[in-house]
Amino acid sequence: MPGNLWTIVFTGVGLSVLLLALFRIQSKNTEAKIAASESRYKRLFETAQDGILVLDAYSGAILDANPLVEILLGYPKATLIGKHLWEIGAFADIAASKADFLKLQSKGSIHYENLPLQTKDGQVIDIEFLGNTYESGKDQVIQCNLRDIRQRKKFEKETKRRALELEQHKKALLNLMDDWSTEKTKLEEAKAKDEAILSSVGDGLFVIDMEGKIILVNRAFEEMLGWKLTEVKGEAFAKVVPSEDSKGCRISPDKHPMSIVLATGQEITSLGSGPSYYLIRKNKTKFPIAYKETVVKLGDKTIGVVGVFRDVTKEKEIDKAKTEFVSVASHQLRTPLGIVKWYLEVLQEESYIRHAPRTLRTYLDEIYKGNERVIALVRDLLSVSRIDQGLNKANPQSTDIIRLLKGVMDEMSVVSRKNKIKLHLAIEEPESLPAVCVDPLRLHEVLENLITNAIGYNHPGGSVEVAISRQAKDFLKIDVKDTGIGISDTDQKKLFTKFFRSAAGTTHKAEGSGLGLYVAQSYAKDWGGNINVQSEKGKGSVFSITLPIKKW
Amino acid sequence: MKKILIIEDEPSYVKLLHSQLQHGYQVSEAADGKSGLFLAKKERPDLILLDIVLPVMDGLTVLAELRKDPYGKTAKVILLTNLEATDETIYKVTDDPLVYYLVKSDVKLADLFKKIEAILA
Repeated sequence: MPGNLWTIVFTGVGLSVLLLALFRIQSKNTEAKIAASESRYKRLFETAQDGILVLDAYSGAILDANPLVEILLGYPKATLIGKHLWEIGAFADIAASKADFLKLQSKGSIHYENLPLQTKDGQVIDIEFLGNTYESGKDQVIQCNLRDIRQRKKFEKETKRRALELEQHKKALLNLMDDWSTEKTKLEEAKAKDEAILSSVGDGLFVIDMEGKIILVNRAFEEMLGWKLTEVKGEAFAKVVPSEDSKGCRISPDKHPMSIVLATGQEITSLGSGPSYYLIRKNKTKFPIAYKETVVKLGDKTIGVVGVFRDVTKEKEIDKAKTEFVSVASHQLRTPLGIVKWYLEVLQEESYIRHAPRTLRTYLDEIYKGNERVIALVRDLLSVSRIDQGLNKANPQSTDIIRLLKGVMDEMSVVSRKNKIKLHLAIEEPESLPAVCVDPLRLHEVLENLITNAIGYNHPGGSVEVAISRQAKDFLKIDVKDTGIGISDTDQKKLFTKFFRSAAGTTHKAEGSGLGLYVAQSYAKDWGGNINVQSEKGKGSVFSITLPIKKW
Repeated sequence: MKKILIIEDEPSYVKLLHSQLQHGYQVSEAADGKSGLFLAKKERPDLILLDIVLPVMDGLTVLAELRKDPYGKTAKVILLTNLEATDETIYKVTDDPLVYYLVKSDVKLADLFKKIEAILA
């Protein structure tokens, strides 16, 4: 049996040895696994993106801290180990820290999304704090993860700011759209109104840009010229709508009023300085216009010209009829007046009249004077009618002014002697007086007129001095100076208007139509000169004519 | 004796001018433009007193026609009218050194006669 026993024993020992060996192998394997795990853990612990503190779950003492904790809080690991959280400067609020630790102990976990911690150098940093209890072998430990959320917070803050900004932009945009919509409505209303006005006005209207190209025309334009806006928009005005002057000559684009408006920035009207011209329709017919053309400005910048015009065909016809009427009527009036004049003249020269009683001769004189007044009136009316139609550019020519003056003085001497007025001509440096460009007949008329007034509104024994001198470089000046009754300031203002007659005229028995000075000034202005007056009531007046010296 | 032709349609003027001028001149007369032109070419007067507003042919046409004639080219003319010199044509005519322009109602008869004398001197 011992053999068997031994066998059993040996077997048992063998088995034991085997088992032990197996166990050893097993144990060695386990150790290796643990070591590997530990190494992995360690590596995780040391390279974690969170700061990690390991606390004793019972005492709360710090068992371990990873390198990131050192970096985050600025305390070396050695100073942390064995301490409680509330003993480190970082967790400044000791009571809260203790309370938190107790909560952690009882609940097993704690989480703060944002826990401000103080670093060793006194800086406050934002940390997300996560505490968890777990078993490490037989011990309970607490792992605290400290995550630096400064970047995140900064990012969040930035995002929030951006979002806010975006929100504001959105609001602004919405407001803008709102305003825009309101403005659009307003503009549309205004545009509708403008369009209604533009299309309903009877006057033609066009707008051109700086190059003379048409930007806009209204309905009246379309109707008058036969062009549609769609056909002419963007085209050169001068090309689409040629213009002619009153003689039928084409007006070149650079001479056109709109070019002058663009060049000078000044408004031009047909009533003012502008020339009168005709527009040519699409069908090549033409019509005369009255117009006003002026610059369009955007702020200070000229961007084009706007022109308004009216078809004045009817007015022209009426004007022509009026001219013909005045011309014919004055001719018809003058024929009998001339007959009366000449027959009276013959009669007055007859010997039996010259020897007739004085009363009879006086009567004939009065009839003759009355007739002369009507003749003068007709002449004045003709002049006015001519001036009103711009036809007074009679016959300007180089005129020897001194000879003309002497002639007038000779004629007037009879009247002045009769009125007991001394008439005197003063010529300053006769050789320095060049010829002037006037219509000699009309200037004669003007001077006669002024001298007649100077004599008529004078006192017996008074004087009239006519003086001629050179005025600056380009003008001659003729002064007609009297010692008469003078003209009040109010009368001076109206003196050159049509049909004005001073109240003094009635007391002074001066005769006239009230047209003489109006006609005189119109002529002088037409020659490029002027007539003005200086006067003092009771002392006399000076009428001065300035005439331009013509350069030959 | 110098010859004067009066082309004038208003009898009162003709009568007066005729009676006043016949003492110094040989006077003939026509009452419309056409017969005036005919008479002018035929009689070759030294001076023509020519009205403008005339029947059949107006005075300015008479003058233009006259200037085409060998005699008429140098004929002396006084445009004696009541028409105001507004028309450019009248001025064109008065540029002619042999044409004088007088407004009847504005000129004294004595001055007209002086002018005639001066022209014919």
